[in-house]
Amino acid sequence: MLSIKRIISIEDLEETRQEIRVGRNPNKPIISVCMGTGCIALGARKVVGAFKVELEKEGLKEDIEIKETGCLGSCELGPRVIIYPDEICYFKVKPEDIPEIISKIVIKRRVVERVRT
Amino acid sequence: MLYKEPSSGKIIPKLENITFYKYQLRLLLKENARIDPKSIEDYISHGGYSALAKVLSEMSPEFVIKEIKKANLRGRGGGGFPTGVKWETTKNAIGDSKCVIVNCDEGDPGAFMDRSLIEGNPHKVLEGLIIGAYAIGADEGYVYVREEYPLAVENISIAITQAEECGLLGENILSSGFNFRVRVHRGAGAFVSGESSALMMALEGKVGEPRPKYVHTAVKGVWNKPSCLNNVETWANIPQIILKGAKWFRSIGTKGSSGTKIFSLVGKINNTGLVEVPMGITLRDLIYKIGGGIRGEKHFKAVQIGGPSGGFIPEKYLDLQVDFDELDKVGSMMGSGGMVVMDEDSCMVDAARYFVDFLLEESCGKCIPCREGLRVLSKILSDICEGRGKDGDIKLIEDIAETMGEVSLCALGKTAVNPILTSLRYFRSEWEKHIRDKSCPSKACKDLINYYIDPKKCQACQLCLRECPVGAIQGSKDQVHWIDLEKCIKCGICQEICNFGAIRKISKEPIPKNPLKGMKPIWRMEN
Repeated sequence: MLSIKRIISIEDLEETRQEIRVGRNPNKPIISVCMGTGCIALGARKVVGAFKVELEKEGLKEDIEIKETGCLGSCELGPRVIIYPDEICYFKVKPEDIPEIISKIVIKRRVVERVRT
Repeated sequence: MLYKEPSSGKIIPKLENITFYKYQLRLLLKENARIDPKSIEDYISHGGYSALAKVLSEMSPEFVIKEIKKANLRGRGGGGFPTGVKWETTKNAIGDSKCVIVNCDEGDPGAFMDRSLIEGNPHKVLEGLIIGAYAIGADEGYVYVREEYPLAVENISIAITQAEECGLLGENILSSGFNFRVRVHRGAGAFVSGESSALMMALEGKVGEPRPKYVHTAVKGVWNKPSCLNNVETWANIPQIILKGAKWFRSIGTKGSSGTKIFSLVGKINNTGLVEVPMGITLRDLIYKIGGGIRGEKHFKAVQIGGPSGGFIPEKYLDLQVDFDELDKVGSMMGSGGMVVMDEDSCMVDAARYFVDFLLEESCGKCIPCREGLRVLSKILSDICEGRGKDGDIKLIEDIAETMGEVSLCALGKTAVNPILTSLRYFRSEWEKHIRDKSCPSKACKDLINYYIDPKKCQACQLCLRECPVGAIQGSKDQVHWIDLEKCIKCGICQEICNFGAIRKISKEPIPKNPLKGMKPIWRMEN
């Protein structure tokens, strides 16, 4: 279901845009997970599922948003996760990495310094 | 987890600092990581549909076309035809009802730009399409997506439904009096259906075969209506041109080709993936800066641009500025933007054979030059790659190629010869070695090579002996190993797993004698 109503004029479009923007907190952390074909093939659905479970468990569902987005192009390195607003990129993410990502980065805004080859 | 740069080993956490992204100019792709493609709210909050609002409130259809012409936007599907001129042709064509169509029948091997764009940001494509329809005066739109792209079909269908519910599609859009509807057509996956007239036949529910184009589809297309067909990426460029202006768009890229182009950079390079760069970037920057260079310290040999219609570009043109006209000059073409990098291990004859065989499968068979030409070319190329090449083969190939290039019905046949001709032009000595010496300098053609175990390096570890799927390797624990060429199927497994680098491919060199014969078992050959 759409949260916005029918847009009937150009002024209406601008109003709707403002309404959407006002309703969103720009500082709210967003976990953007690529759901392009490449990342899905490499297990992105499981990663999203793990993020949801973890946020639920930590009681952070309202504070952190998970966004399933399109492809950024580096399909070989999927599943790709970007944490906004800091724009920290993670590649080749596995479901077992999620608790660490949530507890360290998103809550404490630190970076998980691990490299997967 | 975090990104580690393959060349330097440095860890880079931030998106903007990753070399693969740093040197790109991502005008079309940048929003992909921030927008949920299934949410029109996301698109609107990122400024979506404001170009449509601008067009409907302050621009006449003629003015929109003028602006697109001024921006010098050229068709991103490969041909590079000026988009504004195409729009104008359809606008001026006679017909009560007109069509605009999105071509997402992307089928080049190794190319996935349109797919990512329509999957990741379907509303952008849709907004461009609505603007185009307004400028042309079309009331009907189609998105032709291949069935093999299920997520693209899903996301664009959702986008259309959402736009309808919001009143951005349908009757009296934004109270402007402009009516426009869009439908999704799922293509059955024929490569030739990407050609304009074949695509329109397929849209009508007929077999996707091209027709002679004395009258262009822009004038008489689907159901004989004037129909304007543009590639996904072309449509996606429209909103930003409207918002930022033709002058801004022209400031990016080269004189003849404005804006950016998305390439799918694949093959033997370190960083593969989609790259969006300004037109006019050099191949060297694309391959070495963004692509991170050739994998495994190998040497660059060629880059194949434009898929089966494009050509191979050799090392001497690495500083070529990539745009529509420069690629044409060296015998290749932009195509939809597939870019396959090849290293010293790739055989140019074999690569040409791959594309010919691909097109042979995909040729619709309606016109003789393409249908028969490709069949004969495939036969000759197989002969050459399998050691049956004869003198005169090259001449015959060139004759067929010339005929096909001139008289084939559609671009599939006309451009099918580009891979062969560029391979012949830049790598002729390789062809001659295949034909005269029956040898493959890159050691890629299976029938022209043998695997050989260097007895001086072999440690008699029995690894290859155990792994050989056909039991072609002889020897024992204290005995250097030897490959029985009669049994060997040249799968290359032994070479991959050997820990001592003792196994190599040889082509045309005399095959060393079996060291086992007449020799007593030894621990290992002394140096």
